Amino acid sequence: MSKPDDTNLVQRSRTGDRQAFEALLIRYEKPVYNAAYRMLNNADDARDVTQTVFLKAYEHLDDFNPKFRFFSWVYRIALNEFVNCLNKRPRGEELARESETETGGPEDAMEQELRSRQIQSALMKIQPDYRGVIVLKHFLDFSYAEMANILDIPEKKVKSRLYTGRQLLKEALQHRRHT
Amino acid sequence: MAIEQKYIDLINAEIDGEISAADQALLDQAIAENAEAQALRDDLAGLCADLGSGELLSPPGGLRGPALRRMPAARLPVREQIRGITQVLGNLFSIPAIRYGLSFAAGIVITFTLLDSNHLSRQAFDDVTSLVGTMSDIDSAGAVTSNDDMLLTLNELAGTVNLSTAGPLMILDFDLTSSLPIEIVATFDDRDIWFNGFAQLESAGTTVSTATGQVTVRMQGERRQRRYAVYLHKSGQNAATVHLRFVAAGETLHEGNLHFGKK
Repeated sequence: MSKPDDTNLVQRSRTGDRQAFEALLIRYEKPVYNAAYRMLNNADDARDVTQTVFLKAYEHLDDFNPKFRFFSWVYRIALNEFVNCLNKRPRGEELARESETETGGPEDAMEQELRSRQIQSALMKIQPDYRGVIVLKHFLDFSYAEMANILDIPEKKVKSRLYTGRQLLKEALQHRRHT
Repeated sequence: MAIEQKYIDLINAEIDGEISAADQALLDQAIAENAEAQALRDDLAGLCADLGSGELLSPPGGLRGPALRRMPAARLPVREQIRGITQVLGNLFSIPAIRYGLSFAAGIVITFTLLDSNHLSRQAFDDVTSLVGTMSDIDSAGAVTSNDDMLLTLNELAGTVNLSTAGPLMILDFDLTSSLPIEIVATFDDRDIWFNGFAQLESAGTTVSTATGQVTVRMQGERRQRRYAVYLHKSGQNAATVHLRFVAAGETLHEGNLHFGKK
């Protein structure tokens, strides 16, 4: 039997069907958690933010417009929560948190793991606006049009932010190699 | 040989899988003739492959349970909620004292509505920075439509200013970086436009003041990205122009117009 689509699950959740909402949560907790982790660089914060995002989504289900993808709408809520979480942190804490994940260990021998850590570390060095578009594109695979809808900015600006973000990320990675 | 910005954009579009066949042909030709463009494409493709190579992390096991427990136990269908509210209101209005009391309260509300911001917001304020967050509820204003934008690429000042509209709101969205303190003077000759609010993100230190037909924003110059929005109320749908002048140390760095509707 095929899985019910998002619109169907949202419709049922609106009438109080918690199981339907749980199905949405199961479907999207992983991408939201990953986006949160990439944006916040802290597993505890990412878990808390993911929980808050779905709680808010549940409370505001009546505001969801089925014309758009459910995940786009959820990600918009997530984006606000990322900003709130980052704003609550004392200045400079992002880098401090990031350095915690850099301590060498036997698992670092794996090249891919190391590369992944380097990228995460470089991501935390660029501004959240640029980090956000890179996460949307490369970790969540959104199109330009979907990103424009989520971020509520013109597509032209999405592209310019993404291109600049990549450039900044590349520089941050190069800077790491030289230091 | 330097790479034209157009080809840098096309390389990025190709990597994102959002390039048309015609642009692809153009890019292939440019890359065949320009080793630097080829190197940039390889470089970016490598970076993007690295970004996409990591597997998604699994969320911690205990994530879902607490989230579900914190949700309200029962979510009433909207129709039932409305029926419940209607019932409560019906019961309330059946009591004469409450009925007369509510009618009196409604009269007061109507009186204040007649003296609403249409009149009051025509007043000029010297410094309205403290009005941050006091603008109309943008969510209830309707869909936001982008109308015009301005790109600044000066040494002292770079970024974009976008003019969009949402219902009766005109939104001037500033996304700027400057090396000097900058004064931005927005003027509009349409008497049906007035200042409605100001919002800022990561821009503490930016101030705003108003006068009739004019809003002035002052931003500090610290080479940091500053993002803020000036909200204007506009009655009617006729075309309008906002003139922007960017001034540093008394000298005009740049000026231009943003248009809403037919020029």
